[in-house]
Amino acid sequence: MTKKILSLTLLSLFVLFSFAFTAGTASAQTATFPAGCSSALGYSVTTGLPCNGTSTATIGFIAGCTTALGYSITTGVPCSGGPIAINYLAGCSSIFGYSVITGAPCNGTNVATIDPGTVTPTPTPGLPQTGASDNALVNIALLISSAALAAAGTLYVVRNRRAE
Amino acid sequence: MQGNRQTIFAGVLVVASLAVFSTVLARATLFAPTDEAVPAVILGEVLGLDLKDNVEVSAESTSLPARLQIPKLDIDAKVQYVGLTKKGNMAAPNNFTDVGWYKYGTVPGEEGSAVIAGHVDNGIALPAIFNKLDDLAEGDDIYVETSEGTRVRFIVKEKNVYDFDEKVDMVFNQKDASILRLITCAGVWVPKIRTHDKRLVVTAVKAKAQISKN
Repeated sequence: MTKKILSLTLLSLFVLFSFAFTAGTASAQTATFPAGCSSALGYSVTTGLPCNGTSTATIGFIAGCTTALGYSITTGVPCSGGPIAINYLAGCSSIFGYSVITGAPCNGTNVATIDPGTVTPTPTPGLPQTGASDNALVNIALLISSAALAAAGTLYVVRNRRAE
Repeated sequence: MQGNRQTIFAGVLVVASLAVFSTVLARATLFAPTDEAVPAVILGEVLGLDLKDNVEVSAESTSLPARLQIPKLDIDAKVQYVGLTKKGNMAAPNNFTDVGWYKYGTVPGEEGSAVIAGHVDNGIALPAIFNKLDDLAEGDDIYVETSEGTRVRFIVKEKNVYDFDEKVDMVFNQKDASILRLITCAGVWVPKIRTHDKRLVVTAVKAKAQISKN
């Protein structure tokens, strides 16, 4: 009986944790910020108002953060400056490129990271053909046979002339 | 009368044989097939190659290569400027005594891979300009003389052999140093594809100690 209760408790805890984690991720991805804001940091690019909803904007990144994504490694608070952490900025589906809404870099820093999958490698020409494209044996055979024919013909003409 | 006819026939045969002999000899020893595509820039767009003609870009410049000199192999060859063939390969020089610099690539001496090709043999299997290229070893000197007479010195670092149809990105696109690559045919002649089955690539890097003038 005790084992059953323990199992059920563990199962319930597992379900609860799973739900909480999923819900957290979902809310992180659907986090909303004021228009023109991709996080609670800085000012709206459209209205110019502070993105944190107060009269004073949060400038720069939160302590322990190098981007607006995820959590601070020192304090554990969301790097977004808001109550919840964000995985991707608004208008971004990855950390690469720029937000289609705000135009800000999707990695949460001032400089965007280019998606390595979109970088086209420099095409390469093929290696050159640096041997004669003719078959040497055929050429040599042609040279020998034509020379032999010319020699034989010349000899024949000379002999005929002498005979005359 | 019969004898006259035979003599005339023999004379015609002699003339025809001499014509064949001269044509084959000239074709096999003087004129190498190039198959260079003109205009190459249009071909480059089709192939996805971003072509910049260094000859046109540097029309006023005197830093373009004029001669290739390899003392060890007793080579002092004129440098032709070559582009692409219709198949998208680097073109080769149009004779067996000159070498061809890939004009859409790096200028020798500048940062990147400058590529120069030369024939290994001619149409009757006699040695062409790069016949002894495989004799080069690490540490050997190679010089590229520009049209103004400046010589850029390179030192051989390595040799590699690739399949004839291999796309070797590094050969043309390595950009972390000033590199010179010399290419010629190697392996065996394959009649079906009308070329050798391998390519020898000698890689040299620009020497720190340069000889500025002749």
